[in-house]
Amino acid sequence: MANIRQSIGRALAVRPAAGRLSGIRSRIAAAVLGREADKGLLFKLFLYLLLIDIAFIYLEPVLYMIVTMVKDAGDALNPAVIWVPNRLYTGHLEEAFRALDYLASFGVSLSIAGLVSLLQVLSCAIAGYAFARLAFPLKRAAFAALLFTFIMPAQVTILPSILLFKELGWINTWLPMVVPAMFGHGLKGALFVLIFRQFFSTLPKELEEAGRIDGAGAFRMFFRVMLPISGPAVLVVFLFSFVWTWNDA
Amino acid sequence: MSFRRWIARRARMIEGSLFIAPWAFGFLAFVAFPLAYSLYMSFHQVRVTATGIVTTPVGFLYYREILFADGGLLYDDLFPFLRQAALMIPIILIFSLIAAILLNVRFRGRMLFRVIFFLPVIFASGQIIEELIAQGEGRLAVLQELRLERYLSDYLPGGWGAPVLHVLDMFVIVLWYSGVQILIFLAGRQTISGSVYEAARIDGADPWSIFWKITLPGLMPFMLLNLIYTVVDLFTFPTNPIISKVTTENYGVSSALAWIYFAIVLAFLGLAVGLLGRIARQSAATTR
Repeated sequence: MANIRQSIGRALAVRPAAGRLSGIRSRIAAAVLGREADKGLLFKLFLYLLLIDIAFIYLEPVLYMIVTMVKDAGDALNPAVIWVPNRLYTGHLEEAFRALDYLASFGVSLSIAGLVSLLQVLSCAIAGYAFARLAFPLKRAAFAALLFTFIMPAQVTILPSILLFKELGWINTWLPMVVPAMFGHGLKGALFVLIFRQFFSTLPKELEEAGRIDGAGAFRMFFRVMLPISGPAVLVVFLFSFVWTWNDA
Repeated sequence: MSFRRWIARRARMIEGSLFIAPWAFGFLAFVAFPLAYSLYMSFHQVRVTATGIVTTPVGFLYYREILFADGGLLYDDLFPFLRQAALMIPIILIFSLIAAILLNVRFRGRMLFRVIFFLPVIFASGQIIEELIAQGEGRLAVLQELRLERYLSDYLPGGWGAPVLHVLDMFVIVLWYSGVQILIFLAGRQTISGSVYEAARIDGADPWSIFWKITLPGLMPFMLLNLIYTVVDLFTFPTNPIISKVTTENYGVSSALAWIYFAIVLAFLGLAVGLLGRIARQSAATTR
């Protein structure tokens, strides 16, 4: 890679003699090749090309779904119609809207997903911080239990869980989805605790030591110092939790 | 140690225990108890009657049946699936690593691309994935033209031809599986402080060395997290051939099957993590 850049640079060779012309040449070279390998137009072009290709691979099934959605029966069966339907047919959308009772379902999904993700962000952050920075008895065993919860396929516990919820009388309510989330469990809860743990362990220890010197206990450290600077982790966990609970509900 | 130190240490322990208490309670109630009950059920024949649940102990019967007697239940589906998983995991990890590094460069439209790459996570519920594969949307059109089936069956040993073809058939879906990993790598990449990169650039390092000496070692913890997550995700996806056999007909058989499956997942995971550890140690040794 470096050799290609060197030879291109030599091709656009800058002769130190003539004034304005060599200035323009060197500026063009700097713009195209960049002062370092990851700046410059060539690199940006390559980057855009690669990302657009991958983005198209990602989006093509979704776009195809959207286009198929507005085809009427004739177009759907017509082998000559792939990406551009003859007319836009909204019948499927209307039917789905009615069959799903869309507005009510949307409201329910939104509230459950929102509630669960907020609860999970809070409870998993607390647990993650405890694993990352605090000391408590049996910490190693608890961490092993966390990894165990993460690895365990849900199918192993799904039957007893159903029985447990039936005993508690929670079966036809929203409680089984929300209550585990309050405690740092719930859908993929162990993953979130692990993400928070990894994240909190990369925050500087000096911050914590400074806080303790100033007399802050663990609660104040967490809510005043650690949580406000853990924006990326909170965002990631909230997004995942919302999407997965939505898909689940 | 002195009395004050001891008191301080106890105070910190109590604080820590308070923080972890909700999680510990949740673990006991929602994980440990169902787990123990599931283990108990796998040794019984469980029938749901009108009055409640009737369990009759049968010992290791179901385990023996699944592992030894009726091979079809486990092995016909398991080994092709394991080979598929062995192919898919490196593809997913390497692809998401590259994508995360690309998405971290400052360029215009970066947010849009990040949203596009996150879309599959939103769509990746079992039904949609099945539907897409059934409609043939999982394949890359380019690969179809190459007509690889004959070459693969000629040059690959018996059991590997079908898994490779299957992975190519769902290549787009394999890329779709990478959404979570890309985000985790991205978040991890941002934990490496910019000053390290600045120092390297001042010292005149080229991007190739920077990648291998700074970025990759810094991402190792997240690589491990992603590896574990990918293995677990692949093995617990609902359309998985073995998971779909866990039904509610006979809780005893299903529990035994789930536990055997769990043991297999653990074994595979241990293998994969051990491999990664070895690779990490090798590369750390050679850079010295």
